[in-house]
Amino acid sequence: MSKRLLVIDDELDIREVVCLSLEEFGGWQTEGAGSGQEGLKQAKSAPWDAILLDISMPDMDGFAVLNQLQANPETRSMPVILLTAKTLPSDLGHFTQMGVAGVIPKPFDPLKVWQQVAVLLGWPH
Amino acid sequence: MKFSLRTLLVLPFLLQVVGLTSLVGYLSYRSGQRAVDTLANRLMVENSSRIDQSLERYFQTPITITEAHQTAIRLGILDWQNQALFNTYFVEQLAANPDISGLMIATEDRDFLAVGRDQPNQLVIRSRNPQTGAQESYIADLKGNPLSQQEVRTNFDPHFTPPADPWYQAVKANQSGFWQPTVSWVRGSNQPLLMMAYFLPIVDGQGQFRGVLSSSLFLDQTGEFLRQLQADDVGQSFIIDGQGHLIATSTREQPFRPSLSPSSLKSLNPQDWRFLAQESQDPITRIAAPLALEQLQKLTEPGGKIFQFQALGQRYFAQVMPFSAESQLNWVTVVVMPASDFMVDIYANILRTVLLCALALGGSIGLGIWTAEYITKPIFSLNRATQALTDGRAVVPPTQPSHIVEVEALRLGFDQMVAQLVTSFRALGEREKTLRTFLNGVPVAISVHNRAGQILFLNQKGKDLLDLTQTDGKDPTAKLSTTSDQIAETFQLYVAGTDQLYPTDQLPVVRGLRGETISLDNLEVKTETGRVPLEVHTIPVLDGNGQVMYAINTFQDISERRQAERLQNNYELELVQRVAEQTASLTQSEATKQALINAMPDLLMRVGREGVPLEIYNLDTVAGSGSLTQSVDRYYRLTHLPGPIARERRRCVQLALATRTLQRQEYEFTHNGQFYCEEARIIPVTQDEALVVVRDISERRQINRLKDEFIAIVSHELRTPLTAIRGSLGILESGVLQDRPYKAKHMLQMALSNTERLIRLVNDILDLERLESGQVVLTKESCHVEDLLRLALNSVDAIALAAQVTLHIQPLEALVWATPDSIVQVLTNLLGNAIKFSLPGGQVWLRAKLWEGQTSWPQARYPEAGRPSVQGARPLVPCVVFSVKDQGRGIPEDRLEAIFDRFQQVDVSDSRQKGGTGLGLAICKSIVTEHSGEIWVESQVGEGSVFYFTLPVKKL
Repeated sequence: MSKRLLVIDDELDIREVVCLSLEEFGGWQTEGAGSGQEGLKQAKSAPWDAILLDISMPDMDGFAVLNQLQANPETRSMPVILLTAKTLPSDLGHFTQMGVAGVIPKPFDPLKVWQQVAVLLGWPH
Repeated sequence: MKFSLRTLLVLPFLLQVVGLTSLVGYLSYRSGQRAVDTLANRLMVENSSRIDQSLERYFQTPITITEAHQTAIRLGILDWQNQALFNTYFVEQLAANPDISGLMIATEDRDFLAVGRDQPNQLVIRSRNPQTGAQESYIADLKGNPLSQQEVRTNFDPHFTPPADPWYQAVKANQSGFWQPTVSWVRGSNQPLLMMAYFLPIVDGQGQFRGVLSSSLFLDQTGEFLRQLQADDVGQSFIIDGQGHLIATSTREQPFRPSLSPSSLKSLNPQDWRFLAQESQDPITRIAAPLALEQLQKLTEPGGKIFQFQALGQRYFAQVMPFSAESQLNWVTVVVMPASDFMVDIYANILRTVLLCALALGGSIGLGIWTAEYITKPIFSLNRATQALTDGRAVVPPTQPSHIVEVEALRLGFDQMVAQLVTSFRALGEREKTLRTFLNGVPVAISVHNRAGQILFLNQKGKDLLDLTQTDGKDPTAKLSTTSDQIAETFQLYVAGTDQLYPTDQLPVVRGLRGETISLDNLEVKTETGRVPLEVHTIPVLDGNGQVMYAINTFQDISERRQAERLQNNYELELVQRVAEQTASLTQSEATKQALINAMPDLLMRVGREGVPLEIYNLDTVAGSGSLTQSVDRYYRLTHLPGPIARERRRCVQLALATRTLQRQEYEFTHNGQFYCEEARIIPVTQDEALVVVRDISERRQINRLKDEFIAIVSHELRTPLTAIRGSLGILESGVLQDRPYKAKHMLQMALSNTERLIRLVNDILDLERLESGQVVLTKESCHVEDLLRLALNSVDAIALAAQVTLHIQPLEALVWATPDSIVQVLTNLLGNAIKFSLPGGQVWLRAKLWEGQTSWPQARYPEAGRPSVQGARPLVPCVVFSVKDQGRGIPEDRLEAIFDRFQQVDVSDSRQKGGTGLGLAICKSIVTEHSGEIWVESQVGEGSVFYFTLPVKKL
């Protein structure tokens, strides 16, 4: 059965590119959410195999979304991969302590982003 | 009191040895004596006990045998009337019981048979012939066979023998057994024997008295028995009865008198034969017997008593024990042993101890003398060497080596000291010689005087000054022995400027010898060439007790000085003037230094090795200083750093002092709720002091943090469009959208729009960077305000039209001093923002207003927003106030100032949704600031905003 992934990013262009890459090259099903609130709502609505989460978002940033995902028993077990343009060493050190499955820095290679996700989650690739 | 080392070494040693050996000898003797007493007591007890038990058995045998005969007769086993049977029976009984001396039977019919053993190998059998009434005796062998007839005793009546105390009648009267001493004729009538016989009545089966039976013991044989009981041939033992009569003794003395008067022989009364033990021929028995009876009376417990007594010059141990066989005898056994038998070993031991002590004493004395000699010999050699050294002899005799480590170390140390002393003496001699040469060479006269004032030493200069150089054949040095009272006259010393000889008691030498330190220059010496003024300094030289030993006098000719003084007076005025100038210069230098310190933006401290401030500079002048309270607080903060920082400060100070290098320390802490970030540079000054320069680097830290944040934001802002571009182009390049042209076109548009966004961003960043770094040279010129407004309006017409927003303009006839392109850029940015955030149908106003101080300052349109009034920002010079007003969504109060910073849009999504970069207002602010203007905004959320900026007016 095909994997289902939720992509939460306020940048529509990036959301489109990520979803298209994962669908076309990974063969997975994707859905996008344009804000943190929308992402949380969608995350609770159905079981997801993984969530790709942007950090810099208006209203509710990626950290707040991650906290709420981890606080909710329904979504706690869903692996979260951070998709972020914050790539300073201090940022990366901070991310690894947050209990996420991994971090994919922007910009990424659209042909390989699915493989990066698969490697981080231990899926066949 | 003084002792020689030899005495000190030997005497205590000797006393110690004598004391110890005496103590050991005495204790040994005492211990031996106690051991002897214990041993003697134990031996006496054992011996007496053995004798008591043996006597018990010895005296029990006759009783047992007699009772057996009585029983056998009563039962009819033995026929008491058959004399022949008894004869054989008695012989066998004696053979079977060697301790028994004799057996006897006498009947009511006066039949009598007695078998006795007076010799070990023969028997004496006596019987009464019933026909003759005589007692017949014959000697028989041990089996009873007659060997020879002995004697016949006529008229023998056993019922009345002995006549004085007939035992037969006593037995018949008592009808019971008892012991009784009896005289026996077993060895013949001329050789009576005393024996103890146990008598029992013969009673037949019907209880009828039929005669008497007895068993007897010869007392001389009892003595033999006692002798055999003696464990060894030491001492003696004897038995006495309650009255002190001797019963038996181991001394071979007969316990009865061997011969008596004929009347006694006739009566045969045993008591006539007996004698008291104190009458014994044996002296020990004679002394011991009454003592034994005396001790017996004191005896309160069963068993014996041990006592000691002196006899014949030596000590004896004795034990007295009561003895009663079958409670029928009231006898006493006495065992006596000489103490010498036990003391032999003790005496030998004492002798050995004394000999050994004497030997040890002699050896110790010899050893002590030898040791003392061994120790003192090298020391005496040291003494001889010391004496030689003291006497100043050229050759110091060698010291004697010693095998004693400490003495050898002393000797080596002494030798070393002597070598050093010799060297020192030589060096001293050399130095003295050098000193003399030196003193003779110095240009000052020096004289050394003894207590009498006589000169001990006078250098060449002194001789010259006092005119003592030998010139005319006389020995001028004779003057040197002049005493104090003649010095002034002999050496022609005068009070300066007078013809008065210098008073003796005021002479420097005399005063110096009184202990004073003198300096004076009022003395003159008269020489052949005239009067010479002298300056004299005198100091006393004291000995260890503070007594003056010498006075050292230095004096010099001060003729030239006197001349110079006169000249000097003329220069004094000039000198004072110069000093004043120098002082002023120094004061100025100090002031300059202080000004330099004050000009420094840092706090300066002198600190000690522990990092504690000794002095603090700029406490009141450093940036941020103000009130006295702040200075006090700053002082407290500097002197009470938090523990870890203070420790690090101490470490840095000590490192700086040790390595003589500058050290740096950066630290942060909070004091009184305020955060401090400081840098301390520690510079070593002296061995124990460093200079610490403390600088507040909070601002520097803040700048670095802002820079980091800016880099992070820029990185993010650049990466976002790049991600979209890279993603869309990558997908297109992969060919997956080959069959989906619309999707592919969308991807291309995405790449294009993000590329434009990226270009805008890069341009804005570069613009801002150039502006802020001063790379852009703003060429200012007089500009018409209206022209600027028009140009800006024209540049946004198109987008206003597209956004369906109406633009209004309120021109102004005025000139400003500005760079027109930059101001147009500012206005365009503000207008662009106003259009972007206006809804279709909205309106935007562009205005310019002149402010010259007299007209009212633009009032806040939205005072209810609570924004601080801008009145305080009013410029001091006339200016033009530009404003751009919109009807957009408005700006929250907390963002009114922040939006002029980089990437501080009201909403982070604005850059994406409105096409902004987040840098437009920052660029505007930078340009306006470069024009010495102000920029600000007033806004009400939901109603709109007004952006203002000012430019100085160019006066015509």
